[in-house]
Amino acid sequence: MINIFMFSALFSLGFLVIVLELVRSKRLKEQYSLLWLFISGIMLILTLWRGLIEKIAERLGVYYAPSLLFIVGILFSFALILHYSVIISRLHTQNVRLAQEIGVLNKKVEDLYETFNRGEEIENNRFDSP
Amino acid sequence: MQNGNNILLNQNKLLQDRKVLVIIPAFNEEKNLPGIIGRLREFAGIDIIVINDGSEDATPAVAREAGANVIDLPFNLGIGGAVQTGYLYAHKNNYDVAIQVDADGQHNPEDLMQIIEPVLRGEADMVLGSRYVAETGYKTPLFRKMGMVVFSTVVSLINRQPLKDTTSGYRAVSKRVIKFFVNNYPTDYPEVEALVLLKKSGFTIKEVPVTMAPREYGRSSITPVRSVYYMIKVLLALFMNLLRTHKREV
Repeated sequence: MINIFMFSALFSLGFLVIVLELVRSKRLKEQYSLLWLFISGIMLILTLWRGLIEKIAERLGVYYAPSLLFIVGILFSFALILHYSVIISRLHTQNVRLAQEIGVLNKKVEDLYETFNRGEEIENNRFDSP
Repeated sequence: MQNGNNILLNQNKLLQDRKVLVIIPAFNEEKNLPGIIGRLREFAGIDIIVINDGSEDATPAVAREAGANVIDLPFNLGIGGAVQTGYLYAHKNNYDVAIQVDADGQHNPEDLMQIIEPVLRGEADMVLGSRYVAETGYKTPLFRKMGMVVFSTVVSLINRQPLKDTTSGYRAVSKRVIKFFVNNYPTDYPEVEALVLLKKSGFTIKEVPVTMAPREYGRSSITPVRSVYYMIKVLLALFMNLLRTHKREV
């Protein structure tokens, strides 16, 4: 007899295991996994401790307890997306700097080549001439 | 004209032992570049670096042909990222003054000395070539003029110094500012914000009148939709600068 609470509990547990496995196999960095671990923990507690969500819902004046789960889920999603925007901004800054450094480096390499080739030309000419 | 300038510059004591770099950000400007580079090369003792911002046309080849140094960016960074590359190059090669000149030929190289001189004399850390300080015969479309008045008013209030042509890309900066810009330069529509950034960090700004020619080839990158985004982005950036604490660099 499988009901929604059992399903949610299994899902939360599976989710937690997947996040941990991703960190273990280094496909997810520890610093970016903390938010995910935190939310899987909360999901697990809420699903296992049936009375808790109802108590909180009552306290907050929410008539339909499961809708509390939705709001928590949505708020978490917002937080996570914002977190990613911050990360993307940082990556963007780093990306720009890398492109600039590559441009300047390439210019330097070109200049060095030119100097080097000119030196070689002079060297060759010296050997050619009697 | 050419000899006149050479003599003028050779005699100019201010330029002696000073390294001056002209930075030209260029994105698909193959038609405009030869003209502007040719005119800039009439000035003796000034280096030119073209920042090819991921152009798809012959911009880099044309620029090299015309006798400029070229830095090729691996992809398009936008005007701010491109100009900052120029400052990075200037800093790494120990330049004393860097001047930003637009590739589209609107900036007259004849005004170059007017813009550089106050920096060389140490009168200001940045000199802004302005179209509106004196009557210079440049006509601006009404819509753009409104935006410019707004920026000018806001920046003048924040900086407590009247500045007219805040969007002008024709500007010279000192060695200290070059170093500062390497790590502090807005990537998107940077001109206006840079003025507030500099002032808040303790640098001085001076505005001098320049003449401005209409664009030779191609069209400006500012479209109506972009100009709305431009206004909002710049005003937000200015507002954010008010909320930040700035380290005094000077």
